[in-house]
Amino acid sequence: MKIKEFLKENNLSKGDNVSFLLKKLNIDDENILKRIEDNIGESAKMSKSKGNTVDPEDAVKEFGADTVRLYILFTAPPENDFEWSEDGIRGAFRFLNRLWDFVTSKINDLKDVNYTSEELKDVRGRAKELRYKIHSCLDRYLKDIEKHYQFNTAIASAMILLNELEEFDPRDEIDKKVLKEGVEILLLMLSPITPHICEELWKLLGKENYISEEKMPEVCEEAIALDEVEIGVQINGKLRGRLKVKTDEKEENIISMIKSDPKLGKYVNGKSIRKIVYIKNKLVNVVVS
Amino acid sequence: MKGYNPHEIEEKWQKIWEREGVFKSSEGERKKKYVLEMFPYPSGRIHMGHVRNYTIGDAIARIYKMKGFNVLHPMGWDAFGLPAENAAIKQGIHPAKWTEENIAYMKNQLKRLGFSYDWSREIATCKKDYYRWNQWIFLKMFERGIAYRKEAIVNWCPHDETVLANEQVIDGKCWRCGTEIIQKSVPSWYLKITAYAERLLKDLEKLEGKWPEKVIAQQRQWIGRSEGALIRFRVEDETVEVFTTRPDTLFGATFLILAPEHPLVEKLAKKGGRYKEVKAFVEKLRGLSTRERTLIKEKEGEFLGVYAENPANGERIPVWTANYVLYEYGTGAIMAVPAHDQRDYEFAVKYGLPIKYVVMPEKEIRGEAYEGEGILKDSGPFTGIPSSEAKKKMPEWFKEKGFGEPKVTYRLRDWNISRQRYWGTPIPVVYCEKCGIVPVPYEDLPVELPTDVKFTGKGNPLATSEEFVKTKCPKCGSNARRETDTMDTFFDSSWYFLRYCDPANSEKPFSKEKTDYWMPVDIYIGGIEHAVLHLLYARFFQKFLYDLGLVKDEEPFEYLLTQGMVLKKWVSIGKLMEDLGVSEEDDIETLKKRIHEVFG
Repeated sequence: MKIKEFLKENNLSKGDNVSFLLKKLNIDDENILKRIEDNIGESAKMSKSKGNTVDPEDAVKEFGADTVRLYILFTAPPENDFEWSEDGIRGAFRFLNRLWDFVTSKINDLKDVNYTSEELKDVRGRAKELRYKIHSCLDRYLKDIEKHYQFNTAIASAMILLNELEEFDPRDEIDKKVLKEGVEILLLMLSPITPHICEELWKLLGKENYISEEKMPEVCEEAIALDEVEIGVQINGKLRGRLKVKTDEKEENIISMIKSDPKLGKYVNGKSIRKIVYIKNKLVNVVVS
Repeated sequence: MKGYNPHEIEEKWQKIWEREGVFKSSEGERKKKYVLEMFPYPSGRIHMGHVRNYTIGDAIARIYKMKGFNVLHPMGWDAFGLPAENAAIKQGIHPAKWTEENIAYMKNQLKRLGFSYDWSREIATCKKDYYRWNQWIFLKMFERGIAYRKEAIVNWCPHDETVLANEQVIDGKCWRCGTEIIQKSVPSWYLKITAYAERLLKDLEKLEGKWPEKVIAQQRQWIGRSEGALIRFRVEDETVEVFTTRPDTLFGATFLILAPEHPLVEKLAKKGGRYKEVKAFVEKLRGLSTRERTLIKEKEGEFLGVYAENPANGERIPVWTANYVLYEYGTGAIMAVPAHDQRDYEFAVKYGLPIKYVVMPEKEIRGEAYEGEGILKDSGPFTGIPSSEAKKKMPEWFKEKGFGEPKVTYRLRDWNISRQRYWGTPIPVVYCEKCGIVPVPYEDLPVELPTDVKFTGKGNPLATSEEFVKTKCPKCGSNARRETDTMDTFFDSSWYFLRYCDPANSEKPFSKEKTDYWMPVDIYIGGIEHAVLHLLYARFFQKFLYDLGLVKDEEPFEYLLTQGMVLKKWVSIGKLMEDLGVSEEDDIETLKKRIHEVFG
């Protein structure tokens, strides 16, 4: 049978979505459609006539409302167009599974831990480093939302925070307190975006209030004002190592530290320094001849 | 601990939030935030664009709540409109039932997404406790001359058999069904939005930095303010008014053109002894749509056989009618200055009419019109001055001499709200044999939609209800007929944000106390496609209600976020065939084989 006749018999036209043709041809390998779309597909607003819609009801059935909400807000800033992708929504679903697994695995450890923000202000060492990370993530999150509701980058900060919390292995009571603070802040940050999972985990953590009625956590200024920061050291634009220095350290002190550092010293000693580019608390680039 | 089960926990928490009234809102002492998403048309099911719109709004509302604000976050239904009536025609289901079922289904879909709406404030514009206030606002507008009736040439969709507003005509086609529109004369109800043109334009400045620049620019362009002059030309014993943005070129006006629909065309042609030719020309154009008229490439015209006097220099200039002059713009007549307007130039060349340069550029110009600035020549007292200066001075001179004056015009047109449809708000007016147009008294509102109507797909179903149409005049008791036009649904959505503040009020549209607390909307989220429709009308209504002393703010929406579209990749059958190098004449098995080879 000619293609023309086949299309007519199946009530199809050349302007229809190729997925209808594949169905009629009994090609049900979804990877084929995916490869066709990846190779020659074009992006267009979802519409019935193009047959490229995703039914929200189906998406909720497959992944849940929180995943759909997270995916939509994470994929692009609100005012930009974005292209729906199966990989994207699966990524959002994986993230929520990770969040669930992580928090539920810590519940026994953390449920009965109590802390006040006052007592955490003076923690030292690893606990202090973790607090720095927690509150920097929160700080960035709040600023991104303040600035024209940039949920995509705000959510990225929450994702980074989950990584940090997962990597942290609490050794004593203080560590646990800080970890609990971190988990709580993470759930509060995510609650406007994925309210159901956060509400459930909040309750599992032993909280009595609804997370939907909680206040937005505030950034602890002491926590993000670390007295030591790690900066990158570049020699002639190439990253050669990192240095732990005082916050806002002076340029001349940084240079003498580089000179006396066993690893970094060899790049500069005996050479003349032509130029120094120093971005406080972040990076120094030393240009030598 | 068990694994993540979204369905179980999501449905559980949605029930708890609702039971506990977590998102109920009421006025109070605390600082407020009013977060609003554009309410949907209940088409049947929500689509991904809705989900994106409402997810953004929900996250914002929840964040403000966490930040300690008293948050108003309502949802409702823009429930009147054509699809419900089409369903009635096609499936025989009553529009009210169709709409109700859709609302019920979509409400469940929204609830399943966990949005933090205060559902106790839900409104549906098709309910009489909402649309009676449309009628109330209409009567206020009628009292103040903002709502008026006029016989007018309108955009008519022959498919839907209804009038369309200029904003609903996209590229000369019906915004809903895509049918090419035609011109038709129909008595209609208008809202005088043009009375607010200057304020709508000026107040855009207040929105800068808070509304997307693109939306502000589109509104500015839509309002389309232009400065110029009105000039009166004597033609026989008639006067023809012309608006021009180039008063500085009046000395170069070498003929006049009246649009074919201009009421003086036939009269003047008779005087000029050219009636037969002109009549035939006008008849030929009448069948064309506005779109076809604006797309005309070949300019055509007919001489009316009469002459006008150029009031600036007393020269006798011929009067024509032509296809490229539109009756809807300006005064429906133009002074043709072929030296300085390219379209007039082409017309003048075609018909051998005089071309007189009066604005001189630095370089010499030949074979086309010069539309730029320069120094005036052969322009009486203005000879030798720059055209930019003449633009300001000459209209004043016209006024002094008594043949014209400075004038500001707008592209914005009054809004025709009449729809020859059933599923909308009845316009609360009766036509009395003795008293003429009589507004329905406030105490008789609402004028309810009758249920005994027939949906045939042609004309206005409302006119088929005897019970509705036949009535008594509220003034004199004589026999009267009800207006059967219903309101454009954009009327409904022009003030719904105020009703959310006080949704159950049965005394008035809303109490001032409540809107004073909640308004303005702090952040409004929706699609950019509403830039000049809904968003302009809502600003207009807010200003009208402000003038009545009913609201305290002149602008309804503080901050506007226009969300992007949701796209998805797709491939058409034709595109795949092209890519695989197969034609329609090939065998279907070849196509199948090629698909497996290349993409398998």
